[in-house]
Amino acid sequence: MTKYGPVSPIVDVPRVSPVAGVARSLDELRTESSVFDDLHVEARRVLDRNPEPRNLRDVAVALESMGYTTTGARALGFNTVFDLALTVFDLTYLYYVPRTEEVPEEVPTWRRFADDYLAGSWYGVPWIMSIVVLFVGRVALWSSLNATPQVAAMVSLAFFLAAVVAGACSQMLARRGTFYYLQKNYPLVRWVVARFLVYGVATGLLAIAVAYAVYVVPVYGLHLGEIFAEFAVAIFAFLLSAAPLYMLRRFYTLALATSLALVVTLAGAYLFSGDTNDVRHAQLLGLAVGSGAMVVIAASYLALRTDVDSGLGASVTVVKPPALRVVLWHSAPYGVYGLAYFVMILVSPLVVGLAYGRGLGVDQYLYPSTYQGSVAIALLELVVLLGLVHASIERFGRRLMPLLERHTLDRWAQARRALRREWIRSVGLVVVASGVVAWALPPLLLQVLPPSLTAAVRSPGGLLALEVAAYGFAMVPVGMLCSQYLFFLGRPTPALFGAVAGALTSTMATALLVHGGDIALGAWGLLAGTTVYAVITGLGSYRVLAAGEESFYASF
Amino acid sequence: MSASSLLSQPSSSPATEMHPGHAVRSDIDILMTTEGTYPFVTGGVSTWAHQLVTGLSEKRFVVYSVVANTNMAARYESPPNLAHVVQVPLWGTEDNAEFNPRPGWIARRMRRPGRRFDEEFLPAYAQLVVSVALGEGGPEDLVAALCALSVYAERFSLKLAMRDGRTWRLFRDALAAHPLYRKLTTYEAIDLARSVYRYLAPLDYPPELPGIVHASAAAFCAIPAVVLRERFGIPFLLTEHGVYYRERLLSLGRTRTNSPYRVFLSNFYAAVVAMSYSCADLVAPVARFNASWEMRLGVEESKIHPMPNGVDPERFPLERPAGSGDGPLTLVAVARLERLKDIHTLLRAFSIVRGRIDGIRLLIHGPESDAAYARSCYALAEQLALGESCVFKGPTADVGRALNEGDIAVLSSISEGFPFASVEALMAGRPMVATEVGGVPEVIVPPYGKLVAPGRPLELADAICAMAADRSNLARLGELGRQAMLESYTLEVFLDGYRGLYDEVRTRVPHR
Repeated sequence: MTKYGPVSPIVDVPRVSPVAGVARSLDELRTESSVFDDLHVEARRVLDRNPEPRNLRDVAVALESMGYTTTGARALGFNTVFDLALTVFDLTYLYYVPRTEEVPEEVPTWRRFADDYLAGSWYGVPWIMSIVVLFVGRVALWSSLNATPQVAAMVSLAFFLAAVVAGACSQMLARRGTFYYLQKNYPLVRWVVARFLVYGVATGLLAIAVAYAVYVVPVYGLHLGEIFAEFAVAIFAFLLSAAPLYMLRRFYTLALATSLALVVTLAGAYLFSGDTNDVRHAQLLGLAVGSGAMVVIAASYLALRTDVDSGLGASVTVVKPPALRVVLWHSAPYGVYGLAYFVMILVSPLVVGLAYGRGLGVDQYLYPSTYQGSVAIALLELVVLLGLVHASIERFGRRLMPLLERHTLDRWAQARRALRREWIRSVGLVVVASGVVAWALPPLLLQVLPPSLTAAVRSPGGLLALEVAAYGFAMVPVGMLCSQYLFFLGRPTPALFGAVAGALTSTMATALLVHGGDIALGAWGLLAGTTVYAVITGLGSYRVLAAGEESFYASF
Repeated sequence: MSASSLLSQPSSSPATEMHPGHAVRSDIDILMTTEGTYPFVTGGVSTWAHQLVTGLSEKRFVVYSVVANTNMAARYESPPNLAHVVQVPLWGTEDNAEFNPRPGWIARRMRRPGRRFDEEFLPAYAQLVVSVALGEGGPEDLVAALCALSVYAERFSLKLAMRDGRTWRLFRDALAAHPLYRKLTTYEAIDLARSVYRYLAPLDYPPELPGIVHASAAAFCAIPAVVLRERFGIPFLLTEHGVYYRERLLSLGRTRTNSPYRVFLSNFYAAVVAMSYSCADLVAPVARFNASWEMRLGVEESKIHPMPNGVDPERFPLERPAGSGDGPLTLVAVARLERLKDIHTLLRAFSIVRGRIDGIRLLIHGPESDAAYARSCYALAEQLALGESCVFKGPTADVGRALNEGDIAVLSSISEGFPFASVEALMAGRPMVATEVGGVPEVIVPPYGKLVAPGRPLELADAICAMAADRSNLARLGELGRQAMLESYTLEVFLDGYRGLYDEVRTRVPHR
């Protein structure tokens, strides 16, 4: 074999017969019966089996698969198939036909983007529907509630705790479940879903129980504590049970289940609206939310049965599962990321509520309705922006492979440049779009939404909080996109650092800013936290994408 | 740092270091390594392995099973002398520790290799890339590289080392400097570099030290055998069923990938095969046919000891003489529905036979190993309008009974190692028409067998018709075939043969 072995045959057996001549059509060759012409026919047939044979052995393998044995080779005057292969190999170059690449049909860019945007928007549909319906339906989960501040405080605390714990569990489940689901490894999808849901539920219940026993009941009393526990369990169940639907990409099911759950919740809210006892009213409402969660649980269960169990066959009981501790080790960064992410975006009203309580002379969290209203309205901009984030990451996923295939190995530097451009374009687009939405949407919402919902926000402090929180939430899609890049390329650490740093900054900055008593300043804490998140994940993702093919290689 | 500069550095030759402290001496007699077969996939190799493990009940086995992914369920009941099965998935894991959380897995991940990365890992990796991709150096270079990597993997994370940017740059630059590989697309090169990591997964699953290591293919499942042989002096027996290299080439020929990509992979396979042959103390092909390929691929003739398989005659009783009864004549094939079994040729041949013999039937027993190919078989049967005369009966647990349903057995494979299906059919008293591939001619001989070239439906049909022409003679032919099998291919003969081979391979290695 030469240094570049593949290009010439191994000449280790004597030639049987010299071969020369000009190739003719297959039909022409078939009409003649000489050995010479048979060899031409076989050379062409060899190429049908192996378009680019490298050496004698490649040809021998193909000839054997065509039916040649020692007997067949001898019929043509050769001692063995290897002898025959040597001669046939000399003829194969005559019949080499370069492959034509199939060019995929061009789809207009705008159409692609619209498709990606709509596909990406599905991720946010349950959140969007919940926020919009509960907001507009004036159910007592947000600032529009007509419940007492104590009850609102319980619901708010419950939502915070449930979202944070469910966020962590959902991220872990999504990461590992998708890993197996994309491999169609259904036994392990089922294994991981069962483990993560069971451990997730246990963790959630433990967290709720600790918060209930250590903070809520001692501070607010038993009755309010029960409301907290009831809402925390219901919301946690709702959020966690949606995780398998996300993993299975069952967006229609998710939207339908969320709709039904909201209908149940709204129906409960209106059914119990005549009850004048605030605590009892809240308890019944919590029951309605819990009933809604049951709808999502049922939908998840059915989806898992349809998509996963049907692929299991009889093997479910015998497939060896991986070591759980190793799986947890690798999933943990994603769990911490999910936890920190929700802390970052939800902690500001919590810290403000504590300061608000201290300002009123009580050492407890009180529901800051004005601040909460501003933050809730600002949060609505994510309705528009989430689709853009997911559209960008879908586009990246779709473009990465063709981009790396366009550049041969000796042109890897160009591939890196192309990836850097991709990052700049996508992140730049999200930054600009987020800025525009943060600037334009809040005033628009104040005009569009019923005054009864926005009255509290229209105070100077409320408007300041709204304006700043709008820019604060505008940073979230930027960090989210950059985190997605990092997850895509198997580098969760910068995203993890970004989210944790964002959560810590958001908490501490808000606490420092509202320490003086002006709770509207708390929104700057949110902005600081999300900016830190966006900057760290942005730098991390740029660094990873700038390393181009090296990062993609290392993403296994 | 380039591959060549790394290779020119003086090396402390970790490949030849003995690290008995890291290895666990065990009471295991035989470590049997398999690839894509026992105990997770049914088929000829798995039957062979199961018979060997079950039959040599006086020996303690560990099965080291290299499989494609993690979605594998054991298909065989574990005999008492099988201590355990080490499952080594090449794909479908995020970390090899998932299926092998040996003590210290977190420490290995957290420990920083520092200079040892530059001094041990990178030179070994460079040596591997040069051996594999460029085809330079001999099997001993690849052996040295693998042993060095296995030493490294005992203290540090192999995955983190493989993911390191320096590792990628070394691979990329080595290939980009090559006149052929530089035309790989960047994506293909990445895919190949990742494949290298995946194929080296066995290094992350160091086995206990057995008395003998027995690899069932000259493939990636031979990597632990090579490491055990070279580092710890464990005797290494290699059994070959099909010729792995040949089967990989057949498979590569069907892939729609660019030339440099296929060249890299076939060079990789060739290097692993050559390394396995070079390190094995004995090579025991299941058929003499394999020996011709093995010698061509560099095995010394003195190492080759063909050892045919055997079957248990009690599992293949002669319940009904072939050709007996008044029912329509029935052809029977026991074969997985996959490309190598060439069921298409069988169906086409049967279509011709139907036109010549009224009422003849074809029963095909076997699982759908390749779902797409199985669908194409069903479609072809429909296209040929075979109707109810051809029945796909699916997998069967009782092959003996399935064979007794037929009068003539048929085998249409384009590639075979040792043809279990042929021995089983003859043992069950069915005369056979088979393709002349692999070890089939060593079993199928006149008068109870007819051979035809593979991939030729007309020849196959002619041979079937010739045999079917004298229905009253089928029982006699079947009896002759059964007698021949009882003399040469029983389980007893097979097990005694392996007892002898295990004794023999021990004598080939000086005690260390």
